[in-house]
Amino acid sequence: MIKLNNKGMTAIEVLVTFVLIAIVVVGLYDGIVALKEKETISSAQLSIDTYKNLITKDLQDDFIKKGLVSAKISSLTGGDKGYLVNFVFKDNSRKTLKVIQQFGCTATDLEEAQDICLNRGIGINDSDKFSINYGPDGNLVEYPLPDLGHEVIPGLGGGADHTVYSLKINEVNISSKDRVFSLHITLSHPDLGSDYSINIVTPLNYP
Amino acid sequence: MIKNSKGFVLVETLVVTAFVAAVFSVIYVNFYPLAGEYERRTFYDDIDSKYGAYWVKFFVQRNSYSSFTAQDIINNKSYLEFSCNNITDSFDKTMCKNMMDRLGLEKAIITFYQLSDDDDNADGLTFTGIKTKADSVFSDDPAFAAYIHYLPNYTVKSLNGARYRVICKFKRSGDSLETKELNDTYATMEVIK
Repeated sequence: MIKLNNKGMTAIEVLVTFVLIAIVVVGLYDGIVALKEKETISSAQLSIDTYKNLITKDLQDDFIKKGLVSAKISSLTGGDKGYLVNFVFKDNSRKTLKVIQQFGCTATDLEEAQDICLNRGIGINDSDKFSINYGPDGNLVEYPLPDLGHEVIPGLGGGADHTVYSLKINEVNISSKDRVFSLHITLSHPDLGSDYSINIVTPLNYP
Repeated sequence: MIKNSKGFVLVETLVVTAFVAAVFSVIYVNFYPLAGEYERRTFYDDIDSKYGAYWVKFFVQRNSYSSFTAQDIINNKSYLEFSCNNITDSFDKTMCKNMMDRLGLEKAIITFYQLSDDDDNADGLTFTGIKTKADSVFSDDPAFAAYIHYLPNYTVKSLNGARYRVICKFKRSGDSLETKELNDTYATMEVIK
């Protein structure tokens, strides 16, 4: 009969084994958490890229295929804040670009609201409103910004709750100078920065 | 029956540890650069650069752009430098400069449609492709050479009959208000001339 090996491990061996396993698990956990964060960021970046490419392609198609004759730039009137651009193309078709850039109030109390909202012309219960609209006159297609996180802030002074979004239209520069039309819209996100922008230039009335 | 109750000797443990370490090193060396490669290629042929390359091609195809021949390209290291100054018409030249300035064009070259060597003399022309010369002629700009190597050889003739192509490099910034490091982006487009 084979004699069984009844020798066990010593306490120090068991301890060393546990320590080694713990080190490996902690190392793996950190790596997995980092990868998870990277995946979240990549997914958000992809959403912004897709959004940017969608609008950019529609505008570029018209500028290249039709050719831009003129672009009349004005501020939005009425309820919304932002910009309005009326395009006329070589085939006499007309399209409109409407960029709504309306910042909401991020203040959580009335005292703070005075400083960061009312003094900047933002109502204390205003929500963020950002969108780009483009299409034939009277038939604009809305391109709402992707929701990459938002916060619902309780209404101040008895007002309604309002929402502020992480992704914002940070900067809008539209110009017609030196017979070149330029459109520059920067998107910004607190975690992703402001590297994302819609950048289009095209000649005006160029044969 | 006598059981072998000997454990591993130190040298055996070391050999196994070294072997495992070597395997992990090989895996790391081969897979880690893939992440960087992926990020780098987000700056290749993006929608803005393609649009910019379209306008470079547009001005090269204008009648007012100084004419050039395949022999000119062969004689000049397999490429010609694009410049708005090569446009003879002053209105076109000004428009070109305004556009390239706003597009952030850093560099553009005109080369053959096919980027690899063409030895078959099928169309009465043999040349050394820009891919072969990229490392030497763009030794001061290895990123530009890397983009050329990344591109296909384009050995199949263009369906549009294009004989040339432009390869462009742009400098881009996401936010014009902030001082940020500019990204280099690259794109190519065929030229029918």
